Amino acid sequence: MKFFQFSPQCAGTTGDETICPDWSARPVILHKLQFELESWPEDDLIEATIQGYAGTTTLADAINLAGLTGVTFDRLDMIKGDQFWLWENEHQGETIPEYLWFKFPGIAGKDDFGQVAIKGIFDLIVSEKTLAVLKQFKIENCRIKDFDPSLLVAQS
Amino acid sequence: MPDDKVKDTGDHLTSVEPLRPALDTADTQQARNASASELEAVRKANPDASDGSATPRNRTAIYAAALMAAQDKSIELFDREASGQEKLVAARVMPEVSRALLGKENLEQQSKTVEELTKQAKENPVYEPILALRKHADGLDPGQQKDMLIQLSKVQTDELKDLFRQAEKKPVDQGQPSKEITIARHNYSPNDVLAYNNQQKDIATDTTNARAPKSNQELDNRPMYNLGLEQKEASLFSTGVGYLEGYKKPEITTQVLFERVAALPLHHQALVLSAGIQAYRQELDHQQYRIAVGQITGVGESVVGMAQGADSLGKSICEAAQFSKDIVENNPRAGDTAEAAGQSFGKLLVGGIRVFDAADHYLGSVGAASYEGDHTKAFRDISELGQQMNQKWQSMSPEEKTRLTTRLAMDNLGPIAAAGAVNKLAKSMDVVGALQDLGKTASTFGGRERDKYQRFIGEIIEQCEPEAVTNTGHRLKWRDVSKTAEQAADENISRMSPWFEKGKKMAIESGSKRAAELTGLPEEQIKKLVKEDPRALERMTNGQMIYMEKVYRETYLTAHPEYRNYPKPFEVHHRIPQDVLERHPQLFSHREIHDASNLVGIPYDTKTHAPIKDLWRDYFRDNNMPSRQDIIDFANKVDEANKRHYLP
Repeated sequence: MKFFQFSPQCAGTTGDETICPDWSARPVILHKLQFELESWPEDDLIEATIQGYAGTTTLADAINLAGLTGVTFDRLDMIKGDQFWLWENEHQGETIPEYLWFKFPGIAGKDDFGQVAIKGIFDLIVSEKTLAVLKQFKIENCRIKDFDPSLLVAQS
Repeated sequence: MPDDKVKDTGDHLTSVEPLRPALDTADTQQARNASASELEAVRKANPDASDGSATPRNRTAIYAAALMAAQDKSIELFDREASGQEKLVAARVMPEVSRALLGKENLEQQSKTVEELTKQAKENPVYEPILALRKHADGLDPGQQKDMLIQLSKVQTDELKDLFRQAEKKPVDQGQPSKEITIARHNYSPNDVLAYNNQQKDIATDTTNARAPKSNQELDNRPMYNLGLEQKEASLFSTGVGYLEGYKKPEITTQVLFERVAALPLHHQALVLSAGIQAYRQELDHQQYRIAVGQITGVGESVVGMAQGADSLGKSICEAAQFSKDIVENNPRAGDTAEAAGQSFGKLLVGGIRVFDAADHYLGSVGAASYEGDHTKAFRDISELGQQMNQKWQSMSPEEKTRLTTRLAMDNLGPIAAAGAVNKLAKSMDVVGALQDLGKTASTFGGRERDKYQRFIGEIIEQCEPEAVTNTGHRLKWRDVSKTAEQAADENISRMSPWFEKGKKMAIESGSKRAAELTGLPEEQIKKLVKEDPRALERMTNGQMIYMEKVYRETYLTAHPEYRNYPKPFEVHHRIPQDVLERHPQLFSHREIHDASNLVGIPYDTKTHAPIKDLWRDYFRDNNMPSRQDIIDFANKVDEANKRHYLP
């Protein structure tokens, strides 16, 4: 199966209420995610720097429906950054959809979702099947690259 | 007969028409209007005044004798003229420093003096500026300047002691001035000032309660309500605020109190003003300030109306000082406070208080070398504002000045009074002096006229505000500064708490509590401490906590006021992202991250902020343990690639 590097829209950063025992660990392991919005979340899958992922509830439903592996969902605390009002002015009348915390405990290159820690490589690795589902949603601001599975062998 | 005097004066002036130009000068008017205490002050300052001894020796002679005694310790500069004769160019007498001055006993005596002064200042805030002066002097290296300032502080202390001693001698039960004083052309007798006899002994303003136990000592601490502008007694209290229960007509009006302060010698005025600034910046107790003003003016602290008058004086000078500071420091807040500050200056000047002269006089009296002392900061700002106003005024053409003063005078004073005011101001090079003169003259008018002059003076001051100069050299008139960006930010950015803790990006709520935990000091003490010295907390907690009042967007706009009215929305971007505060707290402090040098403006429509965030996300993903320098280097790279999108 083919895999891809996937880097979602970076819509914000982790807030002070985020609980992370070790920010130097890669991938970063979060115990609680507070998503601080710094720009308008255009896409259905977004990221708070670094490695705090959030997706809309509709995307989560679609993932469940498609039976994709390597992903779990949790509640998150979403807050507005102190200059987010600029974006709200530009998106008057629009509402921000409901987002869930997307956690990726899967194994990269095996499950549909997985994370790696390789320099120069986006950390989220998705399967071709996953990409097909994602493409049904708004992912206009993401970056997608081919993923070379041999890198995993080199890493191990 | 006061009325006859006024009439006589008027006739006299008419009969000596040819002398009018000379009499119209500011100095002459000031001399003519000088009060008894001003005359006394001048007499005291006269170096040739007799010391009253049987063998008359004036101060010049005493000083000459001192010079003779120390003749071998002087510095003299000579120049040789073409004729070969030496000509004295400059000379400075070195004061003889007695060895005894450096002795242990003398040092102990000196510290005792400071201790006494500290105690006095605690009880009476008017001593505060003298204490500050003394502390400043003590911090100087030994020399002429230090000795001069110590001597000056002693002289000022003695003078004040005398003044307060005189006030204490007055009958406390009446709290009224013991002598008639002359302010401008008005003669005030004690009966005029204190015509109302207070019969209600059970409320806070009578002397019995004023000396009640500490818990009840707050003067005029009764519930207040707004009497509105229609109040018939409005002329008696210009603030429009009266007392809800047991209302009594003020025995002294704010205007009269101002005039009494104006009647003091300039350096005493300066001390009262300086104490007012401290009191209304919450550094001193208001009640103590009221008591001190009551004593120094001879009115007595428990007179009805005194509290309001002192409050008005303190608030006005505090607003004027704050505005001066903002102007001098190029703080855009000046644009918001200009109107209120103009009114405050107007009120003080129409009260006859020559604010700018008092500031200049005080700075002059403490000597140029001590200008940098913290205790002179407020006066330096006021003095600087005065100079800048004069420069601005002088840069205007005569037509511009006439047009401006005519418009404002017609709007505020009406056609008859306008002619005189316009004439004086438009021709003046020294607008500050002219406004002070105008205020002094207006102080003799009735309540409504004074209000008009107060407005007029306030508006002239607003118009004379200097321009703001941005970092890029642009000159902006405060008035023209659009508040759009600032207002938008105010509306949308929640006012951050000023307390920051290492390891957290955002300001923390209940920061004072946390600071108290870390330092072991009471919360209230911490709050007071950081107001006085914002960096104290940083030092005490070894950088664990930082106190910073400014929101970073405001920091950016202060550094770049030209973007306050920028037509496009823009984000203020941190060149080194705030994330490092959370993830690498040991590398940078909040102060560095929110410093103006780390902030750039990125217009929203360039869509540059998002790709920059992507760059940093990739950087942090690939660099889990960067050094401080690594981060700085990467920030420079990001700048290099994106600076074309930054606001210039």
